[in-house]
Amino acid sequence: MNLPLLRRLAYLTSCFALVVPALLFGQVRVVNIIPKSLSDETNQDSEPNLAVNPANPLQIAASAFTPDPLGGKTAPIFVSADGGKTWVLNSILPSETNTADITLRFGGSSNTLYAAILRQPIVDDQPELVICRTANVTDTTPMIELRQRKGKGVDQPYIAAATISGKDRVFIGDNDFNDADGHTASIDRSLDSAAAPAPAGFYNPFRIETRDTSPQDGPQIRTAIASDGKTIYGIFYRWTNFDGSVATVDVVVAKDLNGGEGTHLFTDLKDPQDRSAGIRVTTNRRLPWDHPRLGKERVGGDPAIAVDPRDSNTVYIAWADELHNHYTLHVMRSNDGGATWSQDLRTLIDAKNPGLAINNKGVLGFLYQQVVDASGGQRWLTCFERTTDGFATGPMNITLSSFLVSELQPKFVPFLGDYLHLMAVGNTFYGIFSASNTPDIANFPSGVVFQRNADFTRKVLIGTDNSTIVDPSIDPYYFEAADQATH
Amino acid sequence: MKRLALNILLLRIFVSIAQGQTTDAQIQALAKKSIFTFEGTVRALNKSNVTNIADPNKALIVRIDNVKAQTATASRGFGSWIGKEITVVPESDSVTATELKIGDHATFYTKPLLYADEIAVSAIGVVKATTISGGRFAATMAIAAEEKANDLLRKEIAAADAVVTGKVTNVRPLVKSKTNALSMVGKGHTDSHVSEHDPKWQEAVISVQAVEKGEPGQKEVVVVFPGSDDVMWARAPKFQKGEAGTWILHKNQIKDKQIANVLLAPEPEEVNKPTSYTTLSNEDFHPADPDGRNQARIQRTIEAMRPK
Repeated sequence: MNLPLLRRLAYLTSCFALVVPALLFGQVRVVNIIPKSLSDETNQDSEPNLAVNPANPLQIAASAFTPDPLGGKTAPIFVSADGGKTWVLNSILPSETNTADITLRFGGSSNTLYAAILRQPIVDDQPELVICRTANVTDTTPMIELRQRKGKGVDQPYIAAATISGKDRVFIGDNDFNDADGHTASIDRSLDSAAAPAPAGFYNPFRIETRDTSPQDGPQIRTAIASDGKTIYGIFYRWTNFDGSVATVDVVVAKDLNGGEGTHLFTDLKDPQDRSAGIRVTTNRRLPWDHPRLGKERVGGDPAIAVDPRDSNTVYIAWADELHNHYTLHVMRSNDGGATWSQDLRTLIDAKNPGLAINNKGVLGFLYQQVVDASGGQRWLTCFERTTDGFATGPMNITLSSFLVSELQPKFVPFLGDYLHLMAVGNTFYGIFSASNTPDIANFPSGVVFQRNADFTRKVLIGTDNSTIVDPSIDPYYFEAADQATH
Repeated sequence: MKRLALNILLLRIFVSIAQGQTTDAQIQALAKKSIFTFEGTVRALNKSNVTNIADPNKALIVRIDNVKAQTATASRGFGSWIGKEITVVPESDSVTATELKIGDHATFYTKPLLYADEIAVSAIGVVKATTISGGRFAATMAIAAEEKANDLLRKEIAAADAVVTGKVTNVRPLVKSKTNALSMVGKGHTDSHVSEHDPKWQEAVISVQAVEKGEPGQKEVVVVFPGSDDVMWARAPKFQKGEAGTWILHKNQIKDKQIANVLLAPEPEEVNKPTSYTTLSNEDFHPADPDGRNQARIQRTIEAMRPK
C-alpha cells in the first residue's frame, strides 16, 4: 500500500469536494469565534467543545483552552445568542483563569447548560472533576457547582444530556482513578440535574468496565443518549496491556436500556464470548500513547458514538488504532443495538478527533481532522462528511479548514485537541474544531467569518488598534451545515 | 427630568467610595481585590457598548486613560489599552454616596465580565480623581500594586522550605530506581495511573550561589519538575541547563505522600546527597535579570516577612 500516495489522494479528493459544498450541504457557515475585542490574543485555543440548546438553537455555548483574557479568577466559555453568527466570551466557570479538560451540553428542553471540567490549578497530577450548571447561559453569574470529585484524580470528562419525562438526565464519561481494581472507565450520572440542588443527583460514579484491565482503561469514555429516552450507549478503550508507549486495547461498546436508572448501569449488552457486559467490537489493537506525534499532535485514542434519533438500534462508532505505522480512524455501524458490527465503513489514515452525529432524517455527519501530504508540506485538514447510506455510495465531503503543519509550533499539547465535537439538532449539524487562524481564504475552502480583526488580502491578523500585526495561533471555529439531502 | 433623576440614582449605586471618605487602606483593599485597575474618563452614562449586557441602564462607558494594574495574562493578551472605550457595570453589592458625570476622571477597580466586540468589566470600586490628591494617590496606588504583585510571591515564600539563587548545571530524567519506585507506588491501586496529563518528572541540578531562605550552606539542590508539555503543566516552570535565577523550593507541593517520598528522596548515586524540592507554581522561579531586580525583590520580600 502506497500510503503517501493515499494521503495525497485524500488531499486532492478533499479539494475536489470543496467545489460544490453549498450544493451538497445547503448552507455551511464557519465562524472563528474569538471576539473582536480579543484581536490581540495569541493563545492556543485548542480542544474545543460545543453545546447547542435543542430547545432554542439560537443559544450556543462553546469552550476551548481559552484563558480569561484579563487573567481573572474564573474561566470563560464562548456564548452565542444568535445561532452562532456572533460570539462573546463569558467568564462563568469555577476554575482559575482557564480550565483543563472541559465539555458542555444543554438539557433537551430545560434550557439548562451543564459543564464538566477539570479545575485549575491542579495541585498534583490528580485532577479534580467539577460538574456545574446554569439556567441562563447568557447570564454573567458564575455557574453553580453541583459536584466535585478528586481523590486520586479524574480525567477527560465528556458530557451528554437529554430531557427525559420532564427531567434532565446527564451522563458524564470519565476516567476515574479512584477505582482500586483498574476499572477506571466510569460514568457520573444524574437523573434530575436541572432542578435539584447540589449535588443534583450526582453521587458516586458508576464503573462501566466489567473486565480486568492492565493497568486501567483509556481516558476517553463517550456516551450517546437515544431519543427513546431509554437507550444509552457508551464506548471506551479497555486497556489490556501498556508498555509505557503503546497500549494494547479492546474497543468496548456498552448499553443501558433503562434510561440510566437503577444501580447497575450499562449492563444490557453482553459479549457473546465471555458474557460480560459490554461488547468488544474489536480486540488486541495497537494504540500508540502520546508519540509518535501526528502533525505535532499527541495521540492515544479517539472514540466517538452516535445513535439514530429515529431508531435506537442504529448506532455508529468511530475509534482509532495504529495500522501499518499510521494512526488510523475507523467508522463502523450496528443495526441491532450494538450486538453485531459492520466492517469498516470508513477508514482514514493519519486522522483523529472524530465527531459523529445523526440528524432527524437519519443522515450521518462525520467530522474529523487529518494530516495529508500536499505541495508545500503536510497539512492539517478538518473535514465534514455526510452520508445517507452508511458510506455505501461514498460520502459528500467538504473541507472546513486546511493549514500547513509547519505554520505553528505548539505551546503545549494538545495542539488541536484530544477531541472536538459534532452534534445534530433537527436536520442541522453543528460542530466545532480548532485550527490555525491565518486569514488566508485558501485555508477555509467552505468560507469563513472572522470576528477578530483580520486582513485576508495581506493574510495577516490585526490587533485591536487596527494596525499591529498579530502572530497566528490556534483558534476555535464553529460551523453549521443545514442538511438538505432528500435521497 | 425623570430620566435625569434615574441617572443620578443609578450612579449613586455605582460609585463605591465617596469623596472625602477614601482611605489608603480602602484603596489598597480595592487594588488587591481588583483584577484590572485603570484610570478613565466617563464618556456615557446608563449605556453600554457591549450589546450582551443584561441591563445597559446600569452601565457606563469609560475611556481608558492609563492602566494602573493588570495581570500578566492581560498584559500578554491585549495591545495598548489607552483610548479604548470599555463598559463598566457596578457589582450589585457596591455601596455609594457620590455620583459620576460625563467627563469625570476616576480610577476603576474591576473584574472581568464579558468580551465581545468591546469589553465589559464589573466594578468593585471607583475612586474619583478629585477624591484624594494626585501625589498621594499615585503613591498609594504604587504601594497597592506592589502589594498585590507580591501577594502570590509572599504566599509561595511563606510556604517554601528554601529559596536559593543559582544556576542549572544539569537536567536529567528520573533515575531508573525512582521510575521503578513510582510505578510500584500503590501497586494494586491506580495511584500510578496513566494519563495524558502525566507530569513526566525530570530533575534539574542547581548549583547554589546564595541561600535566601532555608538551611544555609547548601551548595547544590535538585529541583524535580514536570517535563510534560501537557496543558495541565503549562504553568509549571521547566528548566534547561545554563538557566540562572532564583528558585522558591518546596517539599509539600505534592500531596500524595508516597509519590512525594519517591520523588524527593536523595539520589542513590549522588555523593553529596543534595536535597530535592519541587517548584510547581509559576511564581516559584524567577529568572536572573541583568540588573538583579528579581532577586532583589525576593530578598526584600523575605526580609519584610521576617519577625521583627
